[in-house]
Amino acid sequence: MTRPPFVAPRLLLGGESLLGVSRAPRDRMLAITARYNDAETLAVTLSKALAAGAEGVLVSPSQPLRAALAELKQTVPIYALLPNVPEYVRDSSDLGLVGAALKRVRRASPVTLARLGFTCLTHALAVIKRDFRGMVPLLLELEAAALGARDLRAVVLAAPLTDLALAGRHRSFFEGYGRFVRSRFGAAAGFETHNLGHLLSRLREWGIIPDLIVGPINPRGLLMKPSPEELLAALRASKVPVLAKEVRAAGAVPLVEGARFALDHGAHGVVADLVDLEDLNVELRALKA
Amino acid sequence: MKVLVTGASGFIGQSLVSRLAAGGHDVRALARRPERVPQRARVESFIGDLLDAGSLDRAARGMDAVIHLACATGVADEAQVRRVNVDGTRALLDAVQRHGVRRFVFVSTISATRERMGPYGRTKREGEAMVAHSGLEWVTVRPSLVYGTAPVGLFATLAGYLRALPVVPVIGNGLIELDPIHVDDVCEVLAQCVTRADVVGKTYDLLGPDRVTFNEFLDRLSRELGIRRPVLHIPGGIALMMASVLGAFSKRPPVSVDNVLGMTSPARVDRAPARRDFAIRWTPLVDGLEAFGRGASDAVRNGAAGNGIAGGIGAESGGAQARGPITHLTPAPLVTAPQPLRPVRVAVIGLGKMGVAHTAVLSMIPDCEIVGIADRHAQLGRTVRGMGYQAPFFTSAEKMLAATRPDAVMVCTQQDAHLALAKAALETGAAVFVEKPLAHTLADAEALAGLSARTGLPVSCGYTLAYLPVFARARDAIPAIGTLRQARSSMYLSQVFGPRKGWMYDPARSGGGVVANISSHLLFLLEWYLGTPLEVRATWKKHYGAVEDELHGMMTLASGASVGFDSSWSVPSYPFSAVVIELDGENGKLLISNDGFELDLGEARDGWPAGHTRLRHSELPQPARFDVNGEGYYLEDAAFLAWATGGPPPPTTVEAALRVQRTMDALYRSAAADGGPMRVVG
Repeated sequence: MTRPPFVAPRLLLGGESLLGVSRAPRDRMLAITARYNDAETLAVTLSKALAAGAEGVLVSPSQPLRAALAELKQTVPIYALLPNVPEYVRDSSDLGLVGAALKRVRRASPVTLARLGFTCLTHALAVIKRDFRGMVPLLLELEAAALGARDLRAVVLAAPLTDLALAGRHRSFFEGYGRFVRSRFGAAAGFETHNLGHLLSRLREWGIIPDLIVGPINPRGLLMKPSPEELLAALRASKVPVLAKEVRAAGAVPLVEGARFALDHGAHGVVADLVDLEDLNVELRALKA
Repeated sequence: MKVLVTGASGFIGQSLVSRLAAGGHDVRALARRPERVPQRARVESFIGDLLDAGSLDRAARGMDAVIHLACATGVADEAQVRRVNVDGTRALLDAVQRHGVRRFVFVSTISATRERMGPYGRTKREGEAMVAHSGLEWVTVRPSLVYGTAPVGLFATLAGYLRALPVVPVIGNGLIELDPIHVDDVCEVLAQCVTRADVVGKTYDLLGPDRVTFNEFLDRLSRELGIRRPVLHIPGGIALMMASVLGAFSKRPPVSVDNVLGMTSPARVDRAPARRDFAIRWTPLVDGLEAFGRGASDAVRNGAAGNGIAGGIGAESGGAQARGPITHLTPAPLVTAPQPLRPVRVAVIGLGKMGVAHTAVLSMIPDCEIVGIADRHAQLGRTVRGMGYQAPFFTSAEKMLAATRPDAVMVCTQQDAHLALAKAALETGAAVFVEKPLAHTLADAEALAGLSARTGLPVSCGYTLAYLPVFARARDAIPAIGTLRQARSSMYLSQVFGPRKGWMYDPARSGGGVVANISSHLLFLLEWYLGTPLEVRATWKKHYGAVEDELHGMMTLASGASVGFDSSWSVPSYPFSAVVIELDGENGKLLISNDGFELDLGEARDGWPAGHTRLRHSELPQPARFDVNGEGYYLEDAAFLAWATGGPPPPTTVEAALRVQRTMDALYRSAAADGGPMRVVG
């Protein structure tokens, strides 16, 4: 049975704060990570989010998430944000970039290793040249396996890697990424970025249209690169569905106001992170409305 | 610096006041209607009038510089124009000279360069001459057509015509050439004119980056607004006659003689001096029009359209024109990122995490070309090339320097290699950026600073926190708390919870543990904020290896105030490093963290109000144009390249980094001596 054509979601629950990544005040971030470190609490929250109108969750692999997904009876549509960069960075400070990757290989299951070997063969030349076109697929194999998703809707490349390739103007990587993700995972291919204006302009110039892009849009201009004006102009000119994140500008504006700003300026949808939500049920319903 | 701005409630004035305050200046905003002056910290509204010499005298008292924007424009009565633009300017100059104000920035107009001038252009020209003979440190700027996102000025006038009239009247054939300039660009130049020595005694024609005919301009604006109207060209002679007649019946006619001449008489302008002397990112017209179109649409939705239309077709903004409040519908950065003053060729040595981050950032800085990358590990070169960076790769830094002869070099290796690599780069004549800390030993750091002094070449160090808007802005607030009584500070990270491998954990290569590798950033901030301590005491703990995982110190400043310093990379709940600095002064307290800062003052001081003030990091300008792990790396690299190409030095000079290294060395010596007091050398 073939999947229906991908339609980018309008509302996702974000879980970046589960990794401790947040522009919200530190106290708030600590409260969130403490609250959702418990798998049962997280499972209940995911379930509530879907009931309130979220079409899925944008998350990176983590132990609490994996446990929560295993605990839930219902299937949660997953938009996988890969790789888990904070963990990778921590490992690389000790082991180096290559060592951090090897650590993940060592803890992979036999099935994952087989998949890894196959991907390695199909990207042999790029792997030998250490080209992102070959290296990123290997990383995605390892990280996707760690996620344990039953309903994988999209694989979204995490911003640090997207932005490195963007600064390197690596056109063939952006072209090949979508093909790999769609064929290997049967899922949509997206990019997260902290440089949304730059990415939209560059992809437009190259004629590349990914299935979705996730990036910061908010009324305060926080994290909107190269500048809020240039980003919004690029957004208007782009055909790519963009999901706005950081809509609360680190807590400076209410969620609904931030989301309205993003949608009014051409965003396709919104990612509301756990850290953005005071009353998940009420606020997600308000956003959906 | 204390800066008096006249015409502060006008179109340019409102933006300028905000820009200056955001840049750390204390602004006295002179206006007839102070309710239109932006209300913010560091801005003092001052009621005054160019026709009231007494008010000018009071306003000039205690100022370091004046930016003179106020003028009469669009006024038909030439005598009235002269009273404001000539007599008023003379009265202001007198007041400024009486109070010993040194710097005077005069905002003229390109109407003062036209072959045929009206009253506005003529009186501005006279003003220029008076300023040039004042004996002050003067700078004159002549902005072209100034526009912004706010619903005021010529753009708004035209937008109003397009919406309201079936036909748009255009004076002359519309082939006159314009160089519209964005108000933010004007404000940036004016802000620089206040402090820079190299611009004194010069007159700058301030033109936008794109030259268009009036017809093209109108066409683009129509497209942006989505409104098409036929154009009716009115011959210049008839328009001039109409303007003269209208002026006889109305004090502020819809079209003035200056407006007509602005559309028919070419200006003699030279854009080169401003381009050469002001390395700012000039806003392209296409961006400005898009932003204006968006702002105008939002203004219509908000019911603001039609308000505040000022000037007329062909009137260059010369000062106070706003008749309605400016509403920034989308936030525009008031502070622009630094950039190289000329094209610069850069090499990167070391391709670890920091080397890769700098390579990415450099790739996105205008006028920066990466000419070589080097690392002794060939596979790292392949990895970086695999990310798309195609600069030539070398396994020998020396060979790369010889082959590429870069203007600037980024040394991003482990600390024990800094001195040798920086020395090699300096010997080729390149400016050098060294990742923090400056070196693994104080002796190496002293040697590197000595090399910089001998060669006269810029050397900067990677203390990135100085470039984060929150820490930079917090520094401006420190004087308000008065004499420092005591301070506490901490920097924590969750990174080391067992024995670790790598050079960072080898004291012979890195020079230390958490302080050398992480919290030297905090030491830099303390040095930048408070100065170098005289004496320190410290204790440390080495839980997992040969370097310290925690260090607790107490530092004594020359004033006698004590500064606590706590640092650890072995505490839970800090996935990212977090800084907290608490300063306790005789007039209040200042709490600074990555999230923002909070100020509690007993009495208002230095432009900061009494009571509680909180600024979150999301409320500050974020000028970096590319984000790699935040704002810091872009601004740090861009500031270094600006310095390397003749711009001002950044805060993170080798001298400042050496002072940090001396404090770090004293902390380590004290900790090794079980907390005994140690003098900070130098």
